[in-house]
Amino acid sequence: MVYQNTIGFNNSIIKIAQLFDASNIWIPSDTSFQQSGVRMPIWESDEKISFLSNEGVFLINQHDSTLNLISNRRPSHGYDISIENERVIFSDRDDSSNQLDDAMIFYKEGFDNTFVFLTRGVFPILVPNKNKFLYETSSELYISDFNGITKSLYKKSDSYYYNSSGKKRIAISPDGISLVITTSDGVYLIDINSNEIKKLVGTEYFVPDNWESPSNTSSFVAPIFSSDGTKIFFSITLNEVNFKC
Amino acid sequence: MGTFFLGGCLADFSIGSCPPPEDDITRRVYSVSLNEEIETIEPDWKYHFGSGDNVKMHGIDSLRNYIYFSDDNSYGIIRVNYETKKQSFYQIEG
Repeated sequence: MVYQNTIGFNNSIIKIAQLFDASNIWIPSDTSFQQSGVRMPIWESDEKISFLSNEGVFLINQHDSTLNLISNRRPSHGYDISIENERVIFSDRDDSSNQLDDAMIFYKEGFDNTFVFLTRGVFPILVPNKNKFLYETSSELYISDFNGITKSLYKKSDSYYYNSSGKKRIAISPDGISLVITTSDGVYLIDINSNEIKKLVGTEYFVPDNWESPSNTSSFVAPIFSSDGTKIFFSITLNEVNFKC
Repeated sequence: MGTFFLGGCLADFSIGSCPPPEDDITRRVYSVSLNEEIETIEPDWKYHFGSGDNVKMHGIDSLRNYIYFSDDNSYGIIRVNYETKKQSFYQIEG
């Protein structure tokens, strides 16, 4: 995957393409492109962007505006696409349930609408170069293959959560060997095979001397791996800080 | 002890002062390497980087070494080449 993460402004992905490559402005001329509720566009390859709309999940080619319906269901708790082998995985839940653990993960190969139920969980991510996927429950982060063999990678604590704004907390390395999670107190690298966890950076690096630790209110968020897997980009959110005086 | 809110600086605090944007750790992008070297990507404030709130990461163009981000109230996106540190700002219309 060349591009990662989400871009979205003013309910329009047209502007996104303009932002990303001003030399190749993409404006769909096809008036049938009238999706409502467009959000969470993701660069899936050098040419293609996936996005959600009220009608489902779509894949659009930024050069010729070809629009493909990937799923006629709109995932409620995350989705991931592998363009190379036409895999789609997403999490959805019954409207009657408010419980996160009631959400179900579905999967398919080929861009039709025949989905297979895999397990209960949220925020599934296809692992690059491996026949596996990551997903979460309210208490743990798992890796699983498509035959149901599942291993816990990380037990969530209070320092790990998806906040209400849905800021991204996980990134997986391009080689699929390791992943990064961001918590309230740091950025952690997890080896998928061994479950070894290494703290790369913590709150202490960022908090000035005259501040008390904002560990209860801060959060490291939005991790992104560089393409060579040697760097992880991230940002920090803070809602409130008590400072010493 | 005073309390302030980073980003919006909404509190009426009696001690201390709202940190200027340059001191607001929520308004930058960071990178950490696997050997724990940390770098800061500092937005160029001439781009009128919003009125507060946290950096919102939007994406990375790994082929061209660009990272894209804004703040939550953004009027645009900042694009930084994370190798050369060169920055560009893209205004959002409408």
